[in-house]
Parts: sequence; C-alpha cells; structure tokens
Amino acid sequence: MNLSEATHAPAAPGIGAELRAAAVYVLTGAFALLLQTTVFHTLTGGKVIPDLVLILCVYLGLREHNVGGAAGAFLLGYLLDSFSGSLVGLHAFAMTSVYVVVYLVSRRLWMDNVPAGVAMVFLGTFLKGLAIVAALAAYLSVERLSIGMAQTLLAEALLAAALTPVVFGVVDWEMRVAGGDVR
Amino acid sequence: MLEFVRRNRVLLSSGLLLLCSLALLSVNARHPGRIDPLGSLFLEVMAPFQRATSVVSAGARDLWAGYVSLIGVERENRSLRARLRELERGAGRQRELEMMNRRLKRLLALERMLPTAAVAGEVTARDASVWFQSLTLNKGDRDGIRPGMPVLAAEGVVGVIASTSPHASRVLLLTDPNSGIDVLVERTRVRGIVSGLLEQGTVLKYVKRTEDVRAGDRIVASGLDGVFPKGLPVGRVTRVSRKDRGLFLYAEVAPAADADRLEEVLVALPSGAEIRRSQTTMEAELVGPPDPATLGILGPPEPPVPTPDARPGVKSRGRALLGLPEPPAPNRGRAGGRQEPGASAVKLSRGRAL
Repeated sequence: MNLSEATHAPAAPGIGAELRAAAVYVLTGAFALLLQTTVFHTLTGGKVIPDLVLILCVYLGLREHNVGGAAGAFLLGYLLDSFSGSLVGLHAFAMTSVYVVVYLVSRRLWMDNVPAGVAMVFLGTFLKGLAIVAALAAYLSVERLSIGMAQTLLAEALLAAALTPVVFGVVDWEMRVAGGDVR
Repeated sequence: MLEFVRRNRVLLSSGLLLLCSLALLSVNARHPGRIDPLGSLFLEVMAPFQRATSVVSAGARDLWAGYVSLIGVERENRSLRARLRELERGAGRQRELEMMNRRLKRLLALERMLPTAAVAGEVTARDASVWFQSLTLNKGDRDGIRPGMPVLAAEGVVGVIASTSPHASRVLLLTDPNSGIDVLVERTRVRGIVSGLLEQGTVLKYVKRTEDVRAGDRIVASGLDGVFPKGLPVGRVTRVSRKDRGLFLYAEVAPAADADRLEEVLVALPSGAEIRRSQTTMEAELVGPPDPATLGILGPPEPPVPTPDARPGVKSRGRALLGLPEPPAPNRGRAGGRQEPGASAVKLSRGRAL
C-alpha cells in the first residue's frame, strides 16, 4: 500500500472505534442524567421528567446489536439507580429489559428511521414502567396502583417520544464527530 | 454449541445482565444497608457537575425573568431600563437573601432543639425519575454524614441518608415508596408507619380501622425507630377512609416539609460524632460577603439575658416536644451572653458543620 492509499483508506472499525463509541455513550448518559436531576426539575417542577437515559437505551437497542450494547443498557440503568430510588438494580433490570425488547423487534422489523425510534421510545417508557412495577411487586409490597400512575406514565412517554428525534440526532452527531460509525 | 453461543451472544449476555440486576435487587432488598459498589463513585463524580448545572439553570431562569422579558422596550428608555434592571437585581438579591436568612434562622432553631449535633447541607439535585423521591446534598462522608442518618427541615422530617460519597450524599425522602417512619398520631397517640406511594402522596399504614384518626390530626415521629427524635412533625392527616375491606384504615398524609421547595436541610449526627468542617462553608457558597442590609433582617439587638449560664437547648427541646409555646428566646452565642444583630446567621455558617 502506498502513502496515498494509506492516507485515504477508510478507518477500519476496531477497538479504537468501539472505545470512541463507548465514550460517546458514557458522556451522553452522564449528561442526560445531569439534565434529569437538575434542569428538568427546574423546567417541569418535577411533575413529569422525560427519561433521556431510556431514549439512549432504545438507541442502543436499535443500533448496537452486540454484547457492548446490552452491557451499555445495563450500565446506564445502574447509573440511573445511583441517582434514583433506593433499590440498586431496579433501573438496571428495566433498562436491560427495554434493550432486549427493542433489539428483538429491530431484528425482525425495519426500524432504521426516526418514527420507528419515536414509537419504540413511547412503548419503551411503558415497558420500563411495567418492569419497575413488576420488580417492585416481587421485592416490595406495591399498593394502590391507580389511574394517576398511568397518566404520569403517559405524560412521560409522550414527552420522551417528543424528545427522541433530538436525542437520536445529538448521538448521531456525536458519533460523526468522534469518527464512529453511524448506522 | 460454540456456533449457537456466537449467534445468540447478545441475547445470552442480556439474559446474564438481567440475572445480575435481579441478583443486585435481591441482595439490596434483603439487606438494610445499600450494597452498591459503584454508586458512591458515580455520586461523587457527578456531584460537582450537578451543582454547577443547578447554578447555571437557576442563573438562566433569572436571566430569562430579568432580561429577556424586558426586550422590546423603546430605545430611548434604555438607560431607564438599565437602571430598573439594576434595582431589580438588587431587590431580587435582597429578597433572596432575606428568604435564605429566614430559612437558615429556622434551621438554626431546629438545630438547637435536636439532642445531637447536626450538619447543614444544600440541596443540589433531585431524583432522576418520577417514580422515586430523593435528593442530593452537597455534604458527604467528609462532613460526618453516614447512611441511615435522619434528615430534617425546619418544618419537620424530610427523610434519611440513603448513600454517601466523600463530598455528596443522597436522601431518601419520606415520600418515596421505599421509605417508612414509625409515627404517632399526636392527639390520640395511635402508632403507625408513614410511607410514600408509587404515585404521588404519603399514607399512614398499619392503623386499625377502629382507631380514632381524623383529617387534620398532626403526625409526629414516635422515636421508636431509633432514627428520628420523638415529637418531630412528620405531617398532617388529610383524608381518612374506612371503606376498603381489611384490618387497617387508609389515611392520606400531607408531609410537613415540602420536599419540592427544600433548599437547605439538617442531617442529625449520632451523639458523640465528630463534625469535620468542609473547606468551603455554606456562608461562602450561599450568603457571600456580609451585607449590612441583610444582617438587619435579623432584627434589633436583643435585651440582655437574665440568666447567662442557662442552656437554651434543653428547655426549648422539652417545650417543643410537649407542644408548649416557645418563650421569646434570648439570641445568644454558644458561650452565652449578648449577641449582635446578624450574629445568628454568622454563627450558623461558621459554627458546626457549615
């Protein structure tokens, strides 16, 4: 290979690219958590908080069909556990469940477009709620599930779905900047 | 076999991770202490960023209120607008300081009532999810805070410390579904447990249907859980229902301390605990340089104290627990004697953990 070929050859996806992608996900996850714990509370008064970490998990389920994607969803959930509630593992369980469902759906259906991502985030919010309630019911006593919870969940799902194109766009942009592969 | 594993590696690894999370859940649900190997690290790393983001978002909100809403006024009025903004900034800052001063004075009064030392902390962030209720404080291990310590506000019980890192800690609020506080109905001395719900709200649990509990009853800490001092306000019963079947009645409780509005709280330390002072005091973080106008808020100089060596804590604590009205408290320093105007605020920030 001469110098010209070496200069213009596309970067082969390897450990470097995967590390860059991981760094993008970690930084985006931390930033999302920062927004969820501070800014969104200021904006919404804490009534409804869009779960940006969940959107990131859906992104992983749609784009990262490898062990790293599953591990990323678990770690994002674990990170969320550190800043939410008192039971460690609850969000890790919920986020991994969301990842698995999105992964299985995206293997069978063509999901490489924004509306599909929006739909998956909308459904993923309910799935996360279901996983949390199921885990809580298994480990703690859950009382008086009511229509109020469903309304909160619906509002959270709608808000998260509305923010999905923005989050997906930001992650895609970050991937391009980091020299990663935007699928 | 290897081919099967290779083809289904994502599903297999996801299954393994789901099992890991369930194992974490099981272990944490069974143990009273939080088993969280990385949580403390995450909390410590994120705490300064959360604090900075809180400051920036509050600044942006103020900017929006103070500047952007004024855009559009005629050009010839610019100098007047600038002057108006300057005055508004000053007045806003003064109002903020005045409110902060009142809050800190009430916290100081609470701290004097407590049987043990206490550390004051500032709320820097809130829960990342609507499902749970927690806060992040700017004080942690280095300030003597440990998991399980009670967190209080001037209005009453706030929650308990759930986890700590060297410079930050997380508070599990009374309104969280995983919390539970042993309480008494003040009027009838009926015992129960106050706990949060998954949906918004707090309930009084495990009270027999036949017990006398009414809307408006004050709920106070029983002290039997060994965490919260007896008699601290927890909330007020807002609705009682005996319609459902079962042994117990259903009573909704409005917490005494509104967690959404909390900015500063006290963490009560166990008796004999040593308090380490932070390098940055809350005075430097919150109050800034002493402002004569603000110090004046604390009121005129107090009259001389008739009995200088009487300890204020014991009597006022006893009165508070018995529900007696507080006598006009002499405004004294720790060593007793007369105090200058504004000394309370200075003491709150210099003394103890602040």
